[in-house]
Formats: sequence, C-alpha cells, structure tokens
Amino acid sequence: MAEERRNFLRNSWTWIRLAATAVLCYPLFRFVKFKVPKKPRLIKVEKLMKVGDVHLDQEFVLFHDESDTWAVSRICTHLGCRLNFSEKEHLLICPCHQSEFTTKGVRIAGPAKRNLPLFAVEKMSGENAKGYIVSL
Amino acid sequence: MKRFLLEKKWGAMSLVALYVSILSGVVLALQYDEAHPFYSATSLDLLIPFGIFWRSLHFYSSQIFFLLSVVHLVVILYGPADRLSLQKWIWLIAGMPVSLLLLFTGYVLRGDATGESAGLIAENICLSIPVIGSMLNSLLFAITEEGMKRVYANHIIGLGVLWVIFAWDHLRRYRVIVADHGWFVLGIFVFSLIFNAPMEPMKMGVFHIAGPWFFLGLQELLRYLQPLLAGVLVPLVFVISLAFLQANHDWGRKARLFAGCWLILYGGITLVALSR
Repeated sequence: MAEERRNFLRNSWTWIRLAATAVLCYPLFRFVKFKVPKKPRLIKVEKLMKVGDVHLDQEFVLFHDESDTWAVSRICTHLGCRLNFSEKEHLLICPCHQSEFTTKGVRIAGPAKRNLPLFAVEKMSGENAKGYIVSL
Repeated sequence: MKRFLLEKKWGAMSLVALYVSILSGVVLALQYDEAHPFYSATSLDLLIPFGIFWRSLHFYSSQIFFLLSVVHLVVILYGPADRLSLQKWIWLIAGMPVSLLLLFTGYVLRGDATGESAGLIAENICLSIPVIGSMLNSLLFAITEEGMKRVYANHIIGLGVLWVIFAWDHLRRYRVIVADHGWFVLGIFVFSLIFNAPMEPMKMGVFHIAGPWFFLGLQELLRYLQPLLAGVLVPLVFVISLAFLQANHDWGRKARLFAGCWLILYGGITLVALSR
C-alpha cells in the first residue's frame, strides 16, 4: 500500500514537472509566434512603359498594354517560389514545380491551386515623376 | 571489403569533418551578413580574399560530415557493435534529422536561386502542418516575415546545440585525436581548394531549379502530392522507422526493411528529378 502511494506520488511529481515545463513553454511560443505588422510598402517603378513592356521586380511583375497597367505577384501560390516570365509562352512559370499562370495571374497548370494576387498600380504624375507606384 | 568497412573509423572521421566544418563556419560568420544573404555569399566568392576557399571548405566538410555519419550508422547497424537501449538510441538518432536540417539551413543561407527557393518551400511545408505548423515555422524559418534572421540563428547556434545535446552521451564515450586523421583533413582542404562550392545566381528565364541533392526526391514528390503528405508525412515515416532500427527481434528487422525500401524508392524518385 505504502509502495503504491509512493509510486503514485512519484508519477504525480513527474506529471507536475511536465505540466510546469509546458506552461513555461507557452510564453516562449506566444513570443516567437507573434508577427509584428508590416508597414504597407509602396514600390516605385521609375520608367514609363510602352505597350507590351514587362517589368520584373523581386516581388511582382508589372505589365502594360493598350488599356491597362497591372502588377501581379511573383510568389507562386503552391510553395512560395519566385516565378519567372516566359516571353515565348507569355506565361509566368514557377521554376520549382512548373506551375503556370497567365499574365493576369490566373493559374492554368501545375500543382498550384490558387491564382496569383494582383497589386494596385498608380501612375505617377508630375513634371519630374515618371513611372508607377505599386502598393504591396 | 567487409573488413575495411567495419574497421575504418567512420564515426571519428565524421567528427573530424564536423570540427573542420565548425571552424570554417566560424571564419565565414566573421564576414557573412544575414541581412543581405546573396550579396554576402557572392562577396565571399568574388571579393573577399580566400572567401571562396573558406566557403568551399565549410560546404564540403559539412557534406562529408553528414555522409560519413550515414556510413557510420549503416556500418554500426550491420557490425558487431553493442546495442543501445531503445530510449538511448532514439535520443542519439534524433541527431540525424537535426544534422540534415543544419545542412539544409546552410543551403538556404546562400540566398541564391536554389537557397531562396528551398527556404520558401520549407516554410510553406511547415505552414501546411495543422495546429503546430505556424509555430514550427516561426521557430525554424519565418523567411517571408523575418528574412534569414531565424534560419541564421538556427544554423549557427540553435541546431548545433540541439545536435550536441542529442549526440553528447555518444561523443563522450570515445576519444578522437584529430592528429590521427591528418591526411583526411588535408584531403578536405585540398578538395576545397580545387572544387568551388556551388552558387546559382537568380537569372531571368530560368524555368527549372533543382533543390539540394538530399531533397530532390521531396521536390519531385511535391509535384504530385499535397505538401502535407509529400513534405511532412512521407519523410516522417522514415524518421520514425530510424527510431526502431536497432530494436530487438521483429521490430528492428521490419524497421530496417522499411527504411531500406524507403531509401530505394526515394533514390528512384531522386533519379526522376535529376532527369528533368
């Protein structure tokens, strides 16, 4: 009986220590997991584009045609690799797993399931300002 | 051949390669800047005197450390070595995935086309894990939010300390005298002088990037399967089988059979990835 009680107390003590460790881990995980909100970023593309021009930035691709200028994300919606633009096929292609997207960001092939996000583009106006501002 | 395999001190050589890797890593850290990983890595290659040598030495000694520790593991499994208790074995074998992660974070820190893509893929695989995925990513990668900060911290401190914790009991049993492996160390130095560590700059119009050699099979699997399945569950069952490699009776035999078949299949998938 005394032996059983001792075992019970010993096991309880182990569980208490494990629970205490888990409790101590909680502030660590909360601290590490918190994401500091990023400031909205405005990226300037300081050149005027002609119809059919394509501008590759680190995070987006800027397209310009007769009626519109638009920016599409360069981050693949499958696993986050950086897309490249194929002039021949007029498609955005992921070098990691070959997902394909149209220039408007619509997914057409490969393991990616979602379309690419589009970013707002504003044309800069003014005497010295030529180009576009892309809001990420 | 069998005698050569059993008598060669693979574990000691692996540890000596790790010493070289740690020392060359300390030298590299004096110049490497994680805020600008690619610029920093290419500066080592192109600007800093002997930068490419130190980077190659770190790269190859780390690869040799990992490969020799795998050979050491296989030889121990098939040799007459004493068996550890299951608990001690699991503790020790946990060092293997950690050393693989050390190797992987080293690739990522290059910040080149392969490194950046591999890092982002790892981050997204982590995020695909239900419940703990976000926390795991915050601990290991968080590249999108933090750049290379956490990968670097894990590479130079966190994972190294974790590896030592797992391997400590094993390491303190054996005394390795580096001077006994002078020719081996010299070989690593000469090899690093002749062969430069790889670097793949981002280029326009590149539509295929191959990941680190040990993750090529995983890259191929991700083409067909969900990230959670290909990136987490498939490697996890292999890691679990490692835990039982040395178990007695039927469990050990089944685990070795499973791990062997898994490696053969993974090798096959890697070959498919290489043919692309």
